Amino acid sequence: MSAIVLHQAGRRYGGRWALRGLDLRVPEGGAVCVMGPSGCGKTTLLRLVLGLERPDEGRVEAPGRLSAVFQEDRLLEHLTAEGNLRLVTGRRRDTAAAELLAELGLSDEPGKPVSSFSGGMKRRVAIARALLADYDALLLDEPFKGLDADTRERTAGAILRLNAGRALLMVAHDPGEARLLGADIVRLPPPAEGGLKPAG
Amino acid sequence: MSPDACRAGYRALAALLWLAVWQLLAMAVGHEFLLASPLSVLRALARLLSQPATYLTALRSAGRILLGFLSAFALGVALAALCRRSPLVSALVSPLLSAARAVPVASFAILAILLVSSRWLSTFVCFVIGFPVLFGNTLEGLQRRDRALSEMARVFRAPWGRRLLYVDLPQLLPFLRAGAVTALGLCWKSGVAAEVIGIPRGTIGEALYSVKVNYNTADLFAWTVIIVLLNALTAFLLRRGAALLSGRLARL
Repeated sequence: MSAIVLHQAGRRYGGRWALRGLDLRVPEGGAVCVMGPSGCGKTTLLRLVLGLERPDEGRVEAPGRLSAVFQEDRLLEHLTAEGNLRLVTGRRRDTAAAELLAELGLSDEPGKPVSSFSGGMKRRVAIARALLADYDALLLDEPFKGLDADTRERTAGAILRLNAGRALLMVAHDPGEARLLGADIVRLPPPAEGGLKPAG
Repeated sequence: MSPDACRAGYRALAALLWLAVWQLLAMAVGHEFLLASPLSVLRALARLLSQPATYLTALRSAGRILLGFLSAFALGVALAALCRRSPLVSALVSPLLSAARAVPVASFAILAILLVSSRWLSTFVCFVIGFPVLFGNTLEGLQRRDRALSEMARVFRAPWGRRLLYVDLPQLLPFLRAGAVTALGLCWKSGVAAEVIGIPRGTIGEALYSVKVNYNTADLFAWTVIIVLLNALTAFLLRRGAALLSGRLARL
């Protein structure tokens, strides 16, 4: 059974199609990584699945409970890492939050607002927030942006463990990131072309 | 000398200079009832502050003025939130706001005397004067919220209360604080002016009216000092409250 389904989905901004005729399925427990050149509609695809935009044609089906790491971190800069996680979990998962932050190498920063964090640290807070939410499918937009190789592996390990059994749809530029999460790669064509090219 | 001490020195010097100018002007006029000297004002202020009735008068006026301010705050914030959601409400409110901004305090005050008791005149006028400022600032704050953060909270299905405390209020607070401080200053000015027009018993307005009748500029200046101090005190408490709330929101 598929958790996420896009059937001939298309989205237009003004007169220009950002995405058109897209068929895509992500099974429950499966992982798919969408790749393609800039402007081919990768982020639009995630926004359609998240319900932040409506398709102008075709159909998009997704579970009601989604979680996401956005292209930008979208953190509450005045709050600590723990505070950012509490927006999503409340105080009931403080212990799990502390453990996950420690696993991601963020336990040395108690009481500091995330505005004082480096780009890589902010990215890990955004990933921890997504993983601690109650959800059925996880969407990641360039999740490892700004992370070094070791941190990528450690973070990927946490994602694989905590997301087990649930659908994962990600967007990346580097096939290595898809491999880290065991995701099947689907390539979107450049903006001018039509159709969808599944990777071998 | 540190830059801070230097600035404080300049400020004290400027204050002394203007006090000296005031003293010279008072001496040139030569009639205390036309222009009281700084020393006479200081004596009048000391006399007023030694009378328990002064505190009761100040409290009575402050209570009514602050009630008007708080009503304006509550309704301004609530209506701005409604207008942000509904273009129809926004269109309905727009002419009322234009009227509230353009009509002079005196017109409102005279109309209010006919409609409500002069006792609540200052409350009504403070509401009418404070409401557009608080409404406008709240609406601007709501319009300037980071859309990306609102989307994020929506995706994570954060409950309404948590969304308010974590996402919306920290972004809105600077606009609310600025609007509240401005509105509070206007409320003190217009509230006392309304009292002078309505002359409700036992208020600062009544005291100022009797000063006018008796040509007592020393008391006029002394009451003015009291009004300025009350405004400064309430503005300080407001800023302090906003800072405490801001600190609390940063520790969520």
